[in-house]
Amino acid sequence: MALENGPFSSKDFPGFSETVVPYLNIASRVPERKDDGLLGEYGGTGFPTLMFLDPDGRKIMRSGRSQAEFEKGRDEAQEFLELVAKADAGDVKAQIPVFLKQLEFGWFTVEEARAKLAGFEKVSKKDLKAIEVLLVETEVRGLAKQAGRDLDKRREAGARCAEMWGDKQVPEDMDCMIQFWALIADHAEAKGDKKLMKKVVKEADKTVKKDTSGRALVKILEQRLKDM
Amino acid sequence: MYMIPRIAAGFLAAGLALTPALPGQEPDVEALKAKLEHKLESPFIEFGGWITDFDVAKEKAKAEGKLIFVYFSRSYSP
Repeated sequence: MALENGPFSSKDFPGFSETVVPYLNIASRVPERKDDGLLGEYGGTGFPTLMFLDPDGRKIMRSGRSQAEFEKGRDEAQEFLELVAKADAGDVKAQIPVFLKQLEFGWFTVEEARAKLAGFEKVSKKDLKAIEVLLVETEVRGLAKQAGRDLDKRREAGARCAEMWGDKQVPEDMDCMIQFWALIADHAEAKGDKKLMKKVVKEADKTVKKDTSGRALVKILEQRLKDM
Repeated sequence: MYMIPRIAAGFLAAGLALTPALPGQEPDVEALKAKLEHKLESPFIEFGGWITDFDVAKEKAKAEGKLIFVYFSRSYSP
């Protein structure tokens, strides 16, 4: 409501909205309504969420909540698309930075990303390290998206995430990390593995720091541990 | 009894910020539809030229070479 009564109703907003295509997605919980769960597909964790997408609907970046941030976000998103076009046209210097951003925004599956990586002639150690983290996050997001609301699938996804944790493959992006811990918690609960659940709660508590959604998850997991 | 925290965490983790109705507590679909209709009458929508169909938004973005600016909101609760 703050956005709707605030920046979206300001006299400056129509000038901005004419330079983009403003799309309002309303989650209504009306059964079988088209695109009702779209926020989840884009990895959102609450309302309101603002994002810039490319014309094919691929996520570019999130937006802040003021007129100035809308305009800044639009300009940054546009610059990114121009960089993508350069990289696609063969500009070698643009290719790795673009690839890193595309991975971060979830443009590829893990398989697509590895195939694209194999096509680069030279990748620095620093970039390779960043790419490996992003590949972990790509896999976790893919697992969470496939599992959706299905509890059995979430438990399976959690088993895979637990394996990744054992191999020290842990996301760094906050939203992704929250998905990761919650999936492993579902798996721990399904197995009745209180020891694993304790470890999840401890590690989640350490890694989510002061993030609001993260703290909410830790509170829920602490209760679930008590109930086990 | 423990379904709420489990499901809430599941949805939180899935980034869905939604919780389903518990078994035995089916949603009042007509009430949900009424809330949605009310939301769709909000003045900011026409004022800002907001499109409410994703396919239409994508077609317009492609035709005009523009970015899509998405506002994810909800009608089922404040």
